[in-house]
Amino acid sequence: MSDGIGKSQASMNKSRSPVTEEAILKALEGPWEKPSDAALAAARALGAPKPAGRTYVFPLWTFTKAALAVRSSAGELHAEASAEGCALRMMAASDGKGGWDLIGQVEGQVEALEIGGQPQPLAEGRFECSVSALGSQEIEIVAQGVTIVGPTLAEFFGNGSV
Amino acid sequence: MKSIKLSAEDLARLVRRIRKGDDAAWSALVDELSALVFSVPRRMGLSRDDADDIFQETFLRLHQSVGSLEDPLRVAAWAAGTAANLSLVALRSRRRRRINDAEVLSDDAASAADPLPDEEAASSLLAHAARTSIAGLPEKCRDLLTLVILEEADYQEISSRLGIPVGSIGPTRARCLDKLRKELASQGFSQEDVS
Repeated sequence: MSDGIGKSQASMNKSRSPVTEEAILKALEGPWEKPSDAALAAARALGAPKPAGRTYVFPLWTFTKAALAVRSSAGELHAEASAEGCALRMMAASDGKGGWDLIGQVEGQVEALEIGGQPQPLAEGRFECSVSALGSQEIEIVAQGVTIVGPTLAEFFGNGSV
Repeated sequence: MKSIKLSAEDLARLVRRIRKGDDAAWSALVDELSALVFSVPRRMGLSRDDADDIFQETFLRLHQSVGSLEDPLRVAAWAAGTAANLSLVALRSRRRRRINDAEVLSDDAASAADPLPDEEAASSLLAHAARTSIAGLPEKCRDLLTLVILEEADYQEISSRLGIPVGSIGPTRARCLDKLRKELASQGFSQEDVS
C-alpha cells in the first residue's frame, strides 16, 4: 500500500532545500490531539496475545446498504456491509415465534462463516439459518486464515430492530 | 516539560520488535504515533468521532501490514499517509450522504474542494517530526521553542519562566529554529516535501 507521501522518498536524492521556518510553523499550527481513550485502547488491544492458531482482526465494517435497519413492508430486515475485502448481505425475517430466519450471501475470499458461534454451510457463498434472537449473536468470517470479528446481528441490522 | 521522544530509528526498532512478537512494542508504537494518526483526519476537517474511526482503521491496517513494511524507518510516514487516504474516503462518503441537500456541488467542484492527502500527510508528518525534534534539542532551545511555538506564550511569560531577558528571546528563538531546521533536514525533510 502506498504511504501517501511517496514523493518525499522519491525526491530524496534530488535537489532538496531545507524546510523553511514558515513551513515548520505552519505544520505546527494544525490540531494536535489525542484520540479517545476507547479508540486508543482498541488500537493497543490489536497487539494483545491471542489464542494460538487464530488471528483475529476487529475491522470497522462499512455499511453499504443500511447503517440502521431497513424494515420492509414484509417485516424483513435487510443490511449489507463490507470489511477486509469481504462483503456480507443478509436478510432477517421473523419466524412468528420470536425467532428469526436468516438468508444471506458472502463475497470475497471467505473460507468460513459463523453466526452466534455456529458454522454456516456456504453454497456458493449463500447461507440460511435460524436464530432465536438477534441480540448478542456475533458474526465471524474467516478469510485467508484470519478471523474477522464482525458486529452482532443486532448491530448488523441496526440497534433499533431488536 | 512534556517531551515526545522516539526518533525514526526508535520507531523502526519497535517495528522489528513487533515482528518478533513483542506485544509491548506494539503498544509503544501506538502511543508514539497516536497524536500523529489522530491529528491527520482532524486537520482534514473530520470530527473527533470520525477521527477515532480513522485512527482505529489505520492501526488495524498497520497491524496487518507491519510484517511487510518495506522500510520500518518510514512507519510514521506510512501511518500518516494511510490516515490521510482514509480521511479523504470518509470526506467523500460524507458528501455522498448529503446528496439530498439543497446545494449539491458538481463532482468536479467537490473534488476541487477536497484536501490533498499527500500534502496533509506530509504536513502532519513534519509536525510530528518537529515536535519530536524539539524534544531532542538542548534544554534551552527545547524549553524556548516549546513555550513560543507549542504553548504560544508571550515574551513576558517566557522571560519570567525561563529567566532570560525579553530582548534576547527573539535572537535565541531564531537560533533555535535554525537548529530545528537542521535537525529536520538531517532526517530527510525538505521544503519540497511540504510545498
